[in-house]
Amino acid sequence: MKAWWRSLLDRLGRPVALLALALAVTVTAMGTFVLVEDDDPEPGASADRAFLDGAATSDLIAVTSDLVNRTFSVDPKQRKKQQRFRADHLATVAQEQFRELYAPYLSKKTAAITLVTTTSGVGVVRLTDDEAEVLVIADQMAVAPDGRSNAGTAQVRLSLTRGSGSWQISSIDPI
Amino acid sequence: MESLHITGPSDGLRRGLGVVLLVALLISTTLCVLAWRSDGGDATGTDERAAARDEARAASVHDLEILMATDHRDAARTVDGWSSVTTGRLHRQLGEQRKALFKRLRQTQEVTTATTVEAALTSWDEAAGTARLIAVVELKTSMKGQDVKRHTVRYLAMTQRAKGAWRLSALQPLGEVS
Repeated sequence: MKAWWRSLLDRLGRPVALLALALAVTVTAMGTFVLVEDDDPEPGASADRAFLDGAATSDLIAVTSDLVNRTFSVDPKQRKKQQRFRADHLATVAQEQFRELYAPYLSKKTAAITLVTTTSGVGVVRLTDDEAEVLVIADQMAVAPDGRSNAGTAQVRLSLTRGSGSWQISSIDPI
Repeated sequence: MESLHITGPSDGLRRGLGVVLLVALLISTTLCVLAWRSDGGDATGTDERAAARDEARAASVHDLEILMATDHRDAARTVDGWSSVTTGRLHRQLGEQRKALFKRLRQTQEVTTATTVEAALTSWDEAAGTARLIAVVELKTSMKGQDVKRHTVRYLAMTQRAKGAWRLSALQPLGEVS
């Protein structure tokens, strides 16, 4: 055995060196563990992936636009089909909010009124893996059976959650 | 001599333990450095982009509020403010219409304050230095001989980074005034 190797082994075998090595291994192992565990981003600016993940943001905007057009339109001829769509794409709370907001168009007295909603803008407030908040501006036109019509613009803040791959409206907050 | 007898076999054990600990230290240090570089590099890049995005949004809202605000009592400051937050064709148009704008402000004696109710980016391209923002803005307007009016307007604002700052390049009303 070479002299330098023997000398190194002798030094490593000293109680003080063993203690120092054990401490250093513990500290670096703990440091590695903390860094690996910390891989999940903290809730904050960078946890919000809006526009940082271009594909996810574009997908959210396209899905929201379609959801809004279909959810907030009322066609007396497709009432059942639209109800099923809302049941599938709105969480329970959002379904209650929708019924409250659109009661005038859903009541029996006004059941013949057609409401067409067309999204004109979707802004992304926040986007994470399974939650999002968006600002939506939409044109709405209500047409009565006698042909009378009324147009307006609505703005709403929507919360969405993603479950099993598809986005669902979880909350509707008119502005 | 007795101590030599006792320490003899344990010396070998201690040396072996020392080697094992040294190897473990080298491995854990390497892993720690790799984890730190990976974690630090990604987080820094993402944080910087997130900050740039948030800055684009905040600047667009600020520019929009300046462009919507009017005060005939300080017409020069109002029009200069509009110029300072615009770029491109919109900026040129304001420059060309400067005299007409002063005249209109004198005639109408308009004072308008703008408050953004909600705003969100609809697009943001860091490399191109462009962003689009939709905003719901509440305007409070008083004019000569008229009562104060409050109305809500919605805009699609197109902004562009020019000379290191975000400036409005175009403005498009969305929907109807309410």
